[in-house]
Amino acid sequence: MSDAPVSPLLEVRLLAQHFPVRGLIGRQTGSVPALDDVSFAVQAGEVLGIVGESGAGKTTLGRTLAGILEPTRGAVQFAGALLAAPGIKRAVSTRARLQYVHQDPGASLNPSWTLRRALHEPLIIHTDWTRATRAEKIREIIAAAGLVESHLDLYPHELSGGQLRRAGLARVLVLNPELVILDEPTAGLDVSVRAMVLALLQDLRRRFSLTYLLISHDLFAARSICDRIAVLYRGKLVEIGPTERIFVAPRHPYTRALLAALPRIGGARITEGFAHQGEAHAHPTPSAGCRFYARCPFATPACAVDEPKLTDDAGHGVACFRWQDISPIP
Amino acid sequence: MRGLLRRLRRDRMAMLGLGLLTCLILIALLAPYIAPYPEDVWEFHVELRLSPPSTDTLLGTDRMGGDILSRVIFGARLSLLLSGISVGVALVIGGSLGLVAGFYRNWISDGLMRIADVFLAVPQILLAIAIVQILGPAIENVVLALSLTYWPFWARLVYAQTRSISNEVFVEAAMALGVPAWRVMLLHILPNIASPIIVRTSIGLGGTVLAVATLGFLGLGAPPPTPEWGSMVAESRAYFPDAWWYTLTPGLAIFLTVLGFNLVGDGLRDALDVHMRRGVD
Amino acid sequence: MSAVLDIQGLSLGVRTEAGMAHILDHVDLAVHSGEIMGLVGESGCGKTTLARALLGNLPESGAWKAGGGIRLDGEEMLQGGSKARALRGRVVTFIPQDPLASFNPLFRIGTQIRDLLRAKLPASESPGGWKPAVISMLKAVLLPYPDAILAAYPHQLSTGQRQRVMIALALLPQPRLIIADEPTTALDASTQRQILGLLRRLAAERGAAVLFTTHDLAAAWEVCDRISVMYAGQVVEIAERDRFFTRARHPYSRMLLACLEDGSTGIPGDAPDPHAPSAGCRFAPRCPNRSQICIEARPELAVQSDGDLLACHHPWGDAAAGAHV
Repeated sequence: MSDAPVSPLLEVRLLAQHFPVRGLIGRQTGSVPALDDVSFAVQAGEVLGIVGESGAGKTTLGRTLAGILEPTRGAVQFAGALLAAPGIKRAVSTRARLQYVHQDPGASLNPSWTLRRALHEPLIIHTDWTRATRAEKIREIIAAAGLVESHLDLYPHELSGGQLRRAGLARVLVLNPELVILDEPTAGLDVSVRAMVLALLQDLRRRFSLTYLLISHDLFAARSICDRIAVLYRGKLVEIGPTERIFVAPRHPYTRALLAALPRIGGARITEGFAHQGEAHAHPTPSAGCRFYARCPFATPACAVDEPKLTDDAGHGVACFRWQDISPIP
Repeated sequence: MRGLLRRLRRDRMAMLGLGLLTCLILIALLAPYIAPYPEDVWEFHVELRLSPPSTDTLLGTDRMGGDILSRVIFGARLSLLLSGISVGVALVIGGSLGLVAGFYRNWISDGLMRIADVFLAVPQILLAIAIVQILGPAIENVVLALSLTYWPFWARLVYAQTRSISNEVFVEAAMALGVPAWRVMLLHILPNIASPIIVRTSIGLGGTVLAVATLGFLGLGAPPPTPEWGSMVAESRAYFPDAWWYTLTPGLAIFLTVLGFNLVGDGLRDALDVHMRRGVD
Repeated sequence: MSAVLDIQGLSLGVRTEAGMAHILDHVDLAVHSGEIMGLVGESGCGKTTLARALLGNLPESGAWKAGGGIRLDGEEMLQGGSKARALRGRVVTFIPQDPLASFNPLFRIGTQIRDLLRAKLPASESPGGWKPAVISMLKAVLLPYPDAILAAYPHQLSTGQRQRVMIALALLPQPRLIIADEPTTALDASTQRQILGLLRRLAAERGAAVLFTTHDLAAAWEVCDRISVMYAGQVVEIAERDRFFTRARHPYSRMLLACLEDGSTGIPGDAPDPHAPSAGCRFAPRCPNRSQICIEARPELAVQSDGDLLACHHPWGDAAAGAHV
C-alpha cells in the first residue's frame, strides 16, 4: 500500500513580479524585475523562512502572496485551488484563510477604532455570527495573544508597542487562518522583545495549527523557528532546504557569504580579515547569466552566460552551476 | 476625547467663540419669544421710522419703523439656516465626490478634480453673484448659488485627505482582509479625515454667513422685507451716519457671528492638532 | 589611563505632558583614550538621550533639568558655553543611526561637506583646499569612486555608502572621541560587517575613542573592548568584553544574554515608567534576585576585583542572595 504524497498547502510556480518603470508621459520604458521564476511549496503545519537582504524581493513576494499585488507571471495554488495569477481576482473567503501580518502590526489597526471594533470587523465581513458569538471568539483570541479584556476598549495610540504587536496578531488570528505570512516580525526589536515575539509565534502556531511563511532578514529569527529556509537574492530563489542544513552546510555562494557575515558571539571577530565584497546594488547585473555573478568569488565565465536553475537534491535545492565544486565549510 | 475637551476649555479664545455661537443659536431658536416686537418682521410702523434707541426700541427703528433688535434677532435665524444648509449641501455633495475620487484614483476622478479646479479658479462670491443674478433674488437661489460654488472646495479637501490616508497601512490591511470598498471608505477612511473637515466646517460656516450677508447687501438675497442682516446694512447706507444704530446693529451681528465661528474653528484646529500628534517624542 | 570622556552622576529629566520624565539617573561612565566602549541597552533605556546630551543635541522642546557633569578631555560639556561648543564637531564627532536624515536632500554631498568643514575647521585651510583630505578619507572608508560620491545627491547613494561618508566625516577632524549611535541598525548583515570592521580599524589607527551605542549584542561583541549596560537610565554594569559575554554579573545582563539562546521567552515584565521612578534599583520589579533592599536603596556602581564595575545588591551566582520578595 503506497502513501499518496500529501499535497502542499501553498504551491508557488514560476512567480514573477515586474514593476513598470514609467517615462515622461506615463509610457512604460522598462521594468524592474523584483521577482523572477520563484517556485517553492509550503506543507501544512511547517514554518518556511524567506531570507535575503533588503531589496531581494522578500516583501514583494509576501505582498504578492497576500493578494496586495497582482503577479506579472506565474501561478500560486492554495489548498489545491488557484489563488493568484495575472488577472485572477481573489475570493473574499480565501482572504480569511490566508492572512498577512505587516511588519508593524499595530499600523494595521484603524487609529480611530477601539481594539474591540477592530477585532469584530474581520468576523463581520467573513462570518454571519451573532454579536455574542463574535465576542466569545474575540475573548479566546486575545487571551491567546497575551492581552486582557480591558485592552479591548483602548485605541491603538493608548497601547504600548508590545500590546500593539499582540493586537495586530489577534486581528489576523480571529478568522482561524490556515496560512499566515509574517513580514519581518522581529525587525528592529530588542533582543528580549524578539525572544518574546518568537516564543509567542511558536505558541500560537501550536495552539491554532497554523502554517507560517516567515519573511525576514534576521537570520537569528529564521534559525529559531523555521523548519525550512529559502534564500532570495535579487528576486531569484538561490537555495532552499532544511534550516540546520542551510546553516551548517550552505551550498550557494551567496548563502555562504550571508552566513559568514553573522557575528558569532564567543568566536573570532568576523569583521577582521574579510575580502571587500561590495554591496548588492553597487554592481550592475549582466543581462544574462547568474545574478550573483558580480559578487561571486567562485564565478567562471560560463556563469555570465546562463542562469542556473534550482536543483532538487533530497529536499535541498540550490541554483548554482558550481555548488558541487565548492568545498564545504569546515 | 476627554483630552480634547480639556484642551478646548483651556483655550480662552475658543471659549469666547463658543460662547458667541451658543448665544447665536439660542437667539435663533428662541427668536419668537425673546424679540420684543416679533411682528415687526413683516409690519410697518412708518410713523416710528428711524427713531434712535429708546426704552421702547432698545436699538432703534429702521426706515419702515420696524424694531431693529427684533429684526436682527430674526435675522439670526435666517443667517444660520441659509449658511447651514449651503455648507451642509456643499459638504455632503463635494465630500462624497472627493471621497470616491480619492479612493479610486482613475481617469474619472482626475476629470472630476479638474472640474472642481475650474470652479475654484473663480472667486466664490463673484460666481455666486452671477448665479443669483441669473436666477433672481430668492432664498432658494442663495442656497443654490452658495452650494454650487462651495462644493469644489470640499471635494478637493476630502480628495487630498482621502488620497493620503489611502496609503496608510491600515487601509491596505482592511482591503487585504476583503473589506468591501464602500465600507473602507465610510468606516475606515472617513473617521480618520474627520478632523480637518470639522475645523474647515466651522470656519466655512463663518465665511458663508458673510457670503449670505454680502449677497443680501447687494440686493441679491431674500427680497425685502425679509430681515436679513446684509440687506439691513444695505438699507442703512442712505441714512448713515445720522441713523448710526441702523448700520451698527446688523453689522455687529455679522461681525460677532463670523468671529464666533472662526474662533471655534481655530480652537478646534489647535486642539485636534495636538490630539493627533499625541505627546512628546 | 586618561579618560577622554568622563561622565559623573549625570541625571537628566524632561518635562512632558504627563509630568517630569527622569530619563537618566546618576549615570557614571568613563571612556579611555583609544578604546571602543559599547553602550548596550534596550529601547527607552536612555542611551540615545545620553549620546545627544554629550553633543548638546537635546531637542529644544521640553524643559530639561540636568544634574551631574560631563567632562570631555577635562572640559565641562553639560553647561555649554563657547568652549564646549568649539569642541563639538572637532574633538567629539557623531555618527548617527539614520544617515539619510543628516543630509540635506537638496545639495550634493560635496557641497555639504565643504560647508561643514568651513564651519568646523576654518583654521586648517591648507593650500590645496579641503578636497584632498576628504578624498583620501573617502578612500580610507573604502568608497571606490570618491569624486562620484562628492558629486552625488544623498538619495543617490545606498544606505551603506551614506554611512561610510558619515564615518569619513566623523574621522576628518581627528577627534578624540567618536559617538556612534546605533550606526549599523539600518544595515544588512554584510554591510554591517564591513562598516563595523571599518570603524574598528580606523578608530584604532587614528587613536580615536569610540562610544558605540547599540541594542544588538552581536555587534557589540564584534566592535567593543568594554561593554556598559544601561537599564532605565541607570548604568548597571561595565565589564571587559570577554568577561561580559562569559560571566556577566548583573542579572539584567545575564537575562539579556539568555535571550540569544534557543527557547528563550524574553524578559518578563515591562520597563518602568520614567515619570514615576523608584528610589531603589530600577530593575528590581523584573529581577529574580530581588530583595527588600533592592526596592529601597539604589546600588552604587562599585569596582570589582577584576576592574569591572557593577551596580547590584545581589549579583548573579552570588551565594548570599537575599530573601526574595
